[in-house]
Amino acid sequence: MHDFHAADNLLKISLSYAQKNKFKKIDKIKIELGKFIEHGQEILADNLKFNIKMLAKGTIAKNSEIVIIEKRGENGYKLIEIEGE
Amino acid sequence: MPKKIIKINHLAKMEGHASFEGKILAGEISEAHIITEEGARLIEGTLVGRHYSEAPTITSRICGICPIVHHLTAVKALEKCFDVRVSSEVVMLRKILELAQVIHSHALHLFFLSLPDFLNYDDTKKMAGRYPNEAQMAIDIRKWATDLCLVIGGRITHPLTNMVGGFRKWPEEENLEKFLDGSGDILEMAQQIAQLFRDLDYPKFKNLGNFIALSDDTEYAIYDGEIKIWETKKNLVKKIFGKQMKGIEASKFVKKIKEIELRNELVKRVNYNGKPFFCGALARININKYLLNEEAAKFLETANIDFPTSNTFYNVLAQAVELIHCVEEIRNLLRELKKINWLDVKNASFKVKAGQGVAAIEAPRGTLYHYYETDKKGYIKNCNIITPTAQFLAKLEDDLSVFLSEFKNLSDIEREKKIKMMIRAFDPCISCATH
Repeated sequence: MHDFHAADNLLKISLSYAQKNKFKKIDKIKIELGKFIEHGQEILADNLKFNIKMLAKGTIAKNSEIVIIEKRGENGYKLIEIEGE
Repeated sequence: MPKKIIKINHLAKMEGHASFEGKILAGEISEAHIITEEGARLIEGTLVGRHYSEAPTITSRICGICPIVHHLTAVKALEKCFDVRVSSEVVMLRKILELAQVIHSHALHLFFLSLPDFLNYDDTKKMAGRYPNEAQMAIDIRKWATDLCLVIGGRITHPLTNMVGGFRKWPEEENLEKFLDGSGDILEMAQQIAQLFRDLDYPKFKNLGNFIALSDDTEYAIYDGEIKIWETKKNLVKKIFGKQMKGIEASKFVKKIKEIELRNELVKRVNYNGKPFFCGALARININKYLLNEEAAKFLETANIDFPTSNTFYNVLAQAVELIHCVEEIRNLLRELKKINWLDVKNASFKVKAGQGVAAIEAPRGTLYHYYETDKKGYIKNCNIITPTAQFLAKLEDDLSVFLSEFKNLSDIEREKKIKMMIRAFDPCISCATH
């Protein structure tokens, strides 16, 4: 469930920045993923990507490339940048 | 337009279980409300476009403490969509599942979450060490209830057997017999645990507001009923009994809540007639007290409290009363089921169709609503889930502000303690609230 929520969180923030900057579509979302454990389960990059893509259906991010940079030493996850037009 | 890169560097870290409480402590009720809704909202999003049969399975994953009630409510709502009438035996089995759900949730909350608060223990284990017999009883009660869920539902947490139309598999008669045999001891244990809660130091508190619960003329409503509302501001006749109140059908009531939610989109306050409302054990007792089973009613009498009461701290005592009542009720139902010839029991046949349905069931923490709209092939077009915690959050905020205003010069630590005590009394579903 937690990567689902993380995906939702990240997508919502991306969409809100995109809206503020009047993007018509988002082409790339770059995320930094550190170690993140909840209920003994780690958030995995593959699951996060899958969930973001699923939640992005019907939004301006629907065809966006999701780039996840894993940073094992860090904690939490960070939305680095979005690219679009 | 040329491509643009926006640098954000937004560090998003979920704080886990502290998050919900943290928001309340910081006075950020809207944020707390968003957290309570998240679980349900994401699940609703995944359900649209799916086959109706997936709704009970998926919605039971909203919550780890109360998955059964989500499953039951989803099935009930879908049965409304397809105009399905199930047999009385099916209803009895479902009632037992829900009662068992309430028992194990209350036993957990009462002994392991609430009592440490009241007795000023920071460490639940230390408290259990001080009350080893009662701790064992709480565990035994929970085991009896969860094993019952296993025997009837097919699995302790997410049910497998319950489905639209009935059950995939009937429980084994010898198994049901075992639970009836053991129920006498369990009832005694429930009464002993309840005793711990009768004489606690409940803060004196009152506040205008509403108390809402399902109600039925023939039994203490958990699985079925109409919505009834005790409006404290009306200051009506002292002993308001549920049967004197007019009931509202669940689907009509849900429409009213939705309208209010939409109007207050930003602040996310749920009100009824301008006042926030409470749902949960105390609401049920306030409205349906006269329908409690014998031992539960006897126990409540000894508590010497003037009912109905707006003192939401008594929600804890109300849960203790329900613990006894639900064990008694399961005994009654198991005795009824002994008379059944399971070979004669049939599931309801039905045709999938385009339809709409709202179902309401009393979850441990309050009334749960599921709404579905299906297309002619049985795929979900629309759905909405309203959890009890999302409903009573506005009342928690209101009660907190009234409660805290009664104290002068509270230190930060004292203030935090008082807030946590009230949160604990409301018993928000931390699982639903913090996914």
